[in-house]
Amino acid sequence: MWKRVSMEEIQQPSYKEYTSAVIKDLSHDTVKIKETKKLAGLPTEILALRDKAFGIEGKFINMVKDFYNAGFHIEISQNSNVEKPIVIDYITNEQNNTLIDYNIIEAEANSQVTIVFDYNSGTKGFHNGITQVIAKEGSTVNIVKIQRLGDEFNDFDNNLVIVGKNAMVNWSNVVIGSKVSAFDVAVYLDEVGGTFTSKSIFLGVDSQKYDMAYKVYHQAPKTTSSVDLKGALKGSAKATFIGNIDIKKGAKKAKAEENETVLLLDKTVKSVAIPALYCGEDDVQANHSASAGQIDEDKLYYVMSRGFSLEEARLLMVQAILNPVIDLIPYDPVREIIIKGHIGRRIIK
Amino acid sequence: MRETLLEIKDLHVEVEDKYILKGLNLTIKKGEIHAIMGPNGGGKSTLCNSIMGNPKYKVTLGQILFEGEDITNLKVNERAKKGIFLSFQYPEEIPGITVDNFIRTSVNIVTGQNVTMLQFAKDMKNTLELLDMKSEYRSRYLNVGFSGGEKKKTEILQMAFLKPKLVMLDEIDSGLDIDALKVVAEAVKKLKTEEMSILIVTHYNRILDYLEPDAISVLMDGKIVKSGDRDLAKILEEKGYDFVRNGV
Amino acid sequence: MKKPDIKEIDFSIYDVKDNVKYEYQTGKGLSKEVVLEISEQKNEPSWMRDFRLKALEIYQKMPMPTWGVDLSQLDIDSIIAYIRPSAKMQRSWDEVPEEIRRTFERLGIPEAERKALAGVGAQYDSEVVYHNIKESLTQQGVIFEDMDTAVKKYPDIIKEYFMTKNVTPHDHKFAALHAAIWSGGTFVYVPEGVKVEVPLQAYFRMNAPGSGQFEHTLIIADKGSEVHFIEGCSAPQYSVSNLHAGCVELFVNEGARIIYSTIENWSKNTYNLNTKRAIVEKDGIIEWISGSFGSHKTMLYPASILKGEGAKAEYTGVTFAAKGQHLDTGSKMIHLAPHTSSKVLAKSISKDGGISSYRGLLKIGPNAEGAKASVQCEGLMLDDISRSDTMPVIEIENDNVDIGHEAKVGRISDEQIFYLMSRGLSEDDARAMIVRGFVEPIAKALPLEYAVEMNRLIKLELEGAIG
Repeated sequence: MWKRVSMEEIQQPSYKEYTSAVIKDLSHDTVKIKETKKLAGLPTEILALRDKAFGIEGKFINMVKDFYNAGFHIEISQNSNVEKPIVIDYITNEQNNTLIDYNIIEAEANSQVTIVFDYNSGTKGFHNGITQVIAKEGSTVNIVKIQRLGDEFNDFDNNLVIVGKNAMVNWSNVVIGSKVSAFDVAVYLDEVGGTFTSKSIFLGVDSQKYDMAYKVYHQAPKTTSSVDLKGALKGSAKATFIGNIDIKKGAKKAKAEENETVLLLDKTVKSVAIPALYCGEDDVQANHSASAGQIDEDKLYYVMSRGFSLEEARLLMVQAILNPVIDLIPYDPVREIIIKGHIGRRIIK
Repeated sequence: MRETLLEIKDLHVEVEDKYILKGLNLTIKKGEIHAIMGPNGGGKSTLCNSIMGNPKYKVTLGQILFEGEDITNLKVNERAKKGIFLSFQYPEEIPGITVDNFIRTSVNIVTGQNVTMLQFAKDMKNTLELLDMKSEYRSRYLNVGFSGGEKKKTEILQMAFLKPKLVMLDEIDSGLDIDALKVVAEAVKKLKTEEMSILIVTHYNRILDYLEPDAISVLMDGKIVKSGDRDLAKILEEKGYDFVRNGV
Repeated sequence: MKKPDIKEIDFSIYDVKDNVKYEYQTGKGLSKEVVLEISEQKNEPSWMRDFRLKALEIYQKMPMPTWGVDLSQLDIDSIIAYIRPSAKMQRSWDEVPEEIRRTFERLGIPEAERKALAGVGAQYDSEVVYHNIKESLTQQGVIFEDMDTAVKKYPDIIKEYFMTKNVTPHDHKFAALHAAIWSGGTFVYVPEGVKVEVPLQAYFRMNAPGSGQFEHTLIIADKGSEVHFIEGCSAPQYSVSNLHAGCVELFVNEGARIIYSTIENWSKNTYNLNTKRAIVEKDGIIEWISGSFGSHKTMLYPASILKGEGAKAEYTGVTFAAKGQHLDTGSKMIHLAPHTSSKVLAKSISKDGGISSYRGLLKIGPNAEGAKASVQCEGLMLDDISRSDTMPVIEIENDNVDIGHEAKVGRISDEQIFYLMSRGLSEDDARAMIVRGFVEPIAKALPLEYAVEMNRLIKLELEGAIG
């Protein structure tokens, strides 16, 4: 069986400063943003989470904790509705090619916020980061993570999500860059009525290697989760998807669903899916499904009968899968166009 | 004067901590066809479920008498054995159990007798014909993959075999096209015996055109607010429930 | 409730302990001496003895598996590796010692043989006590022998096929253990084009407390042939652990078809660590039908290696884990050739704190152009103290494939219960009916007698009458 990406497989970077993050000035008085580098220590809320397992592998977590050179601590005050999304632009370039970010999002009770992380540019480099999200009672937090780093990047992203009572976290990963890219999202639905949804996409081409994991722990009654991952693989790209639904005893009336769909565009791709479902409670609704295959020939034929070339028709089919998620990227037509363009170039060369 | 089959006195019913029925009174006589009409959310389905004994519907006050006996605290299956039948608005799917197997089991329990294979097959053939259903249904899993109309027909198929004293048709007309509705209504009419009472819950007049109820009651806000004969249905169709609500 | 398809039966039949005389047994535990003793007792050719010794070395070097069920309480050194009743292998039930014969009669084996089987092998602890096949099949060239006899009678075939190219002692620790101390089991050869219309059956009975059973089943279905093999097993309940580590090797040649059905009902002190694998050549078909009800802990994942173009595999299984049981079952489908197809339907029921797990592997290799595979898992939880886990792995190395996987877990809904009760069923009967419907796809795949047997076991488990 193909193992997950490990620290040993990649070349370790030497420590470097990183200074090219851009966060749009919000001048919104209900949002407090600080650079984590400048914090005297980690917030107590974060320190309290030390028993929560998360991340791709312990070594990646320790590296971020010891050496982070970027990241933001964002606090949303109680009852505030932050209408415009907060966009964190992690730009990389030749000088800033080692990004180790530690991000902390604290959404106080009944607040609402959308945060977009955009890891972009550069050609060669290294990214390893932690993002911890604490969504308190009744809050709604939307997170979009775009990974469109250069082709010679190694990218690792470790996420911990704590969902409070009747809170909701909507998550989205868009993974289209890097040579090796791994992310892990651990979600703890610790209190009654919490909801986590994820709609994510990936496109792997050439020899890109992706490793994607969602681990959702239902630990309280009436918690809901939905994980949906769609993607396409081309060339000799490889993708591993781990989707764990873990319903603990006592999580009565929990609802969990998980779905993975992969389009296989070449004979030389490799796809591994491990959609596990652990259930220690009977009063639940839980299901998962996974499917993989080629583009439907009838659909290709239909589209080509309207004048599309085979390549164009294939692109259209890939877009049909990926666009619904890209369209969720909030209020950012420019970003959307860039991503769609990037996908187009990768399918038609 | 005909004998009383079902008598409901001051019925209060709670579903998931909400009161749906708030002091409902209703009498159904033996052999009577009684239609309950009323707006959505008024408590029509709750009434059927309460009479059938769905444990989710909690009777907090009042009584249900069936043939003079208090059945308010009786279990569902005991009520079925007494001759109460509910044609469900949304019949459940039971994978792996064929229509044949299910009905035979049910008949044996309710009647307390083993029907012979021969008799059962004969009755089944006739009833399927009556309902314009193909004999393939016998070996299909109960309600699994059935259309709305097929499910409703299968409910009537069960009714035919169980020969109940009280039949409740909970929105039998939903999910049926006009032709199927006619088949179902005519089958019900044919299956109705002198002794059998029918309680029809519906929004629409069409089924009433076929089944010709003896009495009509209007259920709103958890109570019977008006009773009358067939003409009441026509008035309701013309003037709407608000007409009744406003007490005219 | 009268269920027309389930006879009222005496539930205690599985638990009768016989007071049988044993002629020979090794001491507890495992050593070179024990292996040599077994080989000597069997008067085996030297190649088999050497094979056993080599396997023992492999066994001693291999670590215990660290995944699946918890094996920390299994003490192999306290298991009796080989125990032989004082009974010679017979071709007539009349000559089987009375006590043993009565046990098999209670289990319905001779009766089933008369009515519905083409041949029967019956193993009692380490040795086969009865093995017989209908004369007409022998005339068609069908071989149906107990494995010990086969080693002597068909040394060339056995030497070529026995744990060499299918399961090997290197596969895992319990395959190595099996290879070292195997005893009993069945060898079947079906010649080209012969279709064995009526099933063959092997029944394995463990009687001695603290013993192990390590039978070996080898079936070779030659080109275009067909055979249905049924395996049954049971043991009375003891307080000490018993171990079952059997091995099944199936060779499905071009255009051949093997149906392999198992109704497993080991007692709840048994560790069932079994290995089953089929190699399927061009256009061959393997169908696994599996009902796992008994044992304390089970690890069992029948594997289908789809080696030839157009080969097909199906796995249809139900696992019922009740109190004190952890049943880790599943299937492996390995697609190595073009246009191969596989289908998995795995159902599980958990009750009274039982743990049922589905662990599966679906692998589509780079040469499996046009492969089709579907996996469907359904877990039914009957209470909130049990567990149901699903752990499938899907590995794809080809684009021209059609792969689907679905899994769900849940309980019987209150609405279903209410619906059935409104038709007169009591709550218990309503539950039983829903469970029966749940396992219907598996019951349907079994011959009638065995479907009845399975429904009987389900009824037993639901009532908690055993274990």
